[in-house]
Amino acid sequence: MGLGPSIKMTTLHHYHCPITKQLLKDKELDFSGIIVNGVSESFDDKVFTAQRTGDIAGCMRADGAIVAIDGWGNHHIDFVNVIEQLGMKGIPSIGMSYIGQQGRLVCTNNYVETIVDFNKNASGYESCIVGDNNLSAYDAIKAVALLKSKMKKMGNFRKDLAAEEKRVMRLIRKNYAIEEIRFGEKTDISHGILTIRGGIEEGFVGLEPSVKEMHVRLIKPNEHHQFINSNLDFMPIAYKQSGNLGAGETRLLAGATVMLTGVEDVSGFQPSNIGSSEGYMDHCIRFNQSGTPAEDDSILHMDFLFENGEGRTATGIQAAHRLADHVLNEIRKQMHNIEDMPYATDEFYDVIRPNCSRVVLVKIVSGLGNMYDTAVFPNQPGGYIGARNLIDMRNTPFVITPNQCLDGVIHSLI
Amino acid sequence: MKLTTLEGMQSEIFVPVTPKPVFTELKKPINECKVAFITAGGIHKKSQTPFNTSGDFSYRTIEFDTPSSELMVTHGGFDNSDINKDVNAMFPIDRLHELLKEGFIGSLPKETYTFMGGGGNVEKFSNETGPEIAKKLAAQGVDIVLCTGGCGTCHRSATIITRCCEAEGMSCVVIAALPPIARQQGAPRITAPHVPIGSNAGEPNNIPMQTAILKESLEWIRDCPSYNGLKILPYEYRHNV
Repeated sequence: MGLGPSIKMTTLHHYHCPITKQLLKDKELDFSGIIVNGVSESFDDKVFTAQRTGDIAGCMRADGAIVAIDGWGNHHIDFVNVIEQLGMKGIPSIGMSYIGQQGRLVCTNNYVETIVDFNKNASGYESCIVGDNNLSAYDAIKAVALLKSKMKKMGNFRKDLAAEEKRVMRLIRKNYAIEEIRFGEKTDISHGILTIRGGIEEGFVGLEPSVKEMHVRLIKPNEHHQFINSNLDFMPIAYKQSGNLGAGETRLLAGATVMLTGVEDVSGFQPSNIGSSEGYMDHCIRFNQSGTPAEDDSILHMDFLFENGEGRTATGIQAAHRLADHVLNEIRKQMHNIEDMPYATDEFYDVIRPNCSRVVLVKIVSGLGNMYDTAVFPNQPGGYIGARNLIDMRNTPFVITPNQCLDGVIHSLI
Repeated sequence: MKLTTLEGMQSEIFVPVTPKPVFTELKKPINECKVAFITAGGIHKKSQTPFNTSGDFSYRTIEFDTPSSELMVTHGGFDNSDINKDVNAMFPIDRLHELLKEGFIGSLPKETYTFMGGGGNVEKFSNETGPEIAKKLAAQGVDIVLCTGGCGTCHRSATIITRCCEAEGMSCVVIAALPPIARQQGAPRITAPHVPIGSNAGEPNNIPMQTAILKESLEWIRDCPSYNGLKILPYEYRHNV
């Protein structure tokens, strides 16, 4: 995930990615795919991955690119390197990054010309409020407009609104509105109520030696003034009814969000990178952002007590995410057979717009291991089990479709 | 051609501009020099107050006779596991004592200063912390200052403080895992081993590698022809999580 709490892109953020949505709906652009480029911890790998991302964008015949990142400092080396590699291939790009004061570029090059700074804070320093400096839909609108303008100036812009767009992949998202989450004897979804088996976590917590205790709690919209530990992630509750991620049918419990938090036993260490986000929930979460729950969401809260020292290891953090996914899998089983609830349908298509400028999105995400890593292609939308960690793949970049992004193939680890 | 279209207009984007050169030539042989080592990597004594990981421009005083077992790291910007295994991976205090014994360096000052450069306030480091550390080192008669960064913004903070030391009349080198940052922020001299951030001074518990990085960095202080010179060191270590 990101560096500080205020800019980090949670799993939920990628699931609702505002740039992907903005690019998909722009009829003048042929949005051909998303390159996921992990941030490495060694300089040689940073150069290597940026070069590969440039090669892929070149082979995709991109006319322009948006490069978005949720880190700064060493992450900005990857950021400026990717922009440079694209630029060397004649692909103009718009960067999207937190800059402010604290995230000022540590290095740059001649191709870094246009950046949308999504700092939202007057101080220009990261805050410990999750979602405070989140990349928003307005930032995405600005970036897409800037990119079109830049492509026009470079002579890379073409559009043909008369040509028929070709739909290649269809993703249906069925949104089942959840009005309340409560505990009960068995896990069940019925008439807008998600019932969770009391003590659901007890059978799972023993699977992970680095986690001492796990507590599943429910938080109603009017119960936000309570203390929570440092945020690990926000996740959707989504189930793949049919097809692979990015196509077929996904079922989503709308109005319900999963929140993962944690703390270390003995030391009391709050897992974090640059600054932790523990505190009163109504103070340490900026609600209603793409990466955070809506203010009136019911929250399924999973809090982890890590063994001493394990709140700052890769194995500890991964264990928490895995345990959360185990709990979600029990809920997902019930999502397969919802029969007594209406649903609203969203349809997403990967589209080819012939004769329009071809645009790619580069998502630069953490791949540093330990406290910052990203996993891709889980078994379930926004899940973790089955996913591959970027650090294990040495951050070699790869391409995902816009629909795959909106179907939760990117899972952020703290 | 006139480049300014409107007076006082500022770019929306802060772009680092390489600051003005600062360079102090080494005038003594290395084995007669008093050598200090500073770090932006968040090293401090276990008994001291930890750094604030969201940004901290304070510093800690470390006596050079502190056993390495009494040191620890507080830094959120990189994987701490290598330093937890061996603090010499960021702050090679044991290697410095060995170099002293070997006669490779002349002496060590009584104490040195460490800080946590991640997300650091550039102005505070440039105008307060940097000059203060530089004065304290100069007052101890230090000739050479070696410095490691940690994460990306650490490299910036490390370079800022190193420049203050250079300006105070000491010859300095930044041992950089991320050389372009040290380069662009205006480090007087740079050595760059192929190491991940978090093990900037070499693989944990790999004494020959840590020693070689230190020796070659000291030699680069002697041999670097001019300001901002970069030397890539041939040591490679890959961190397996």
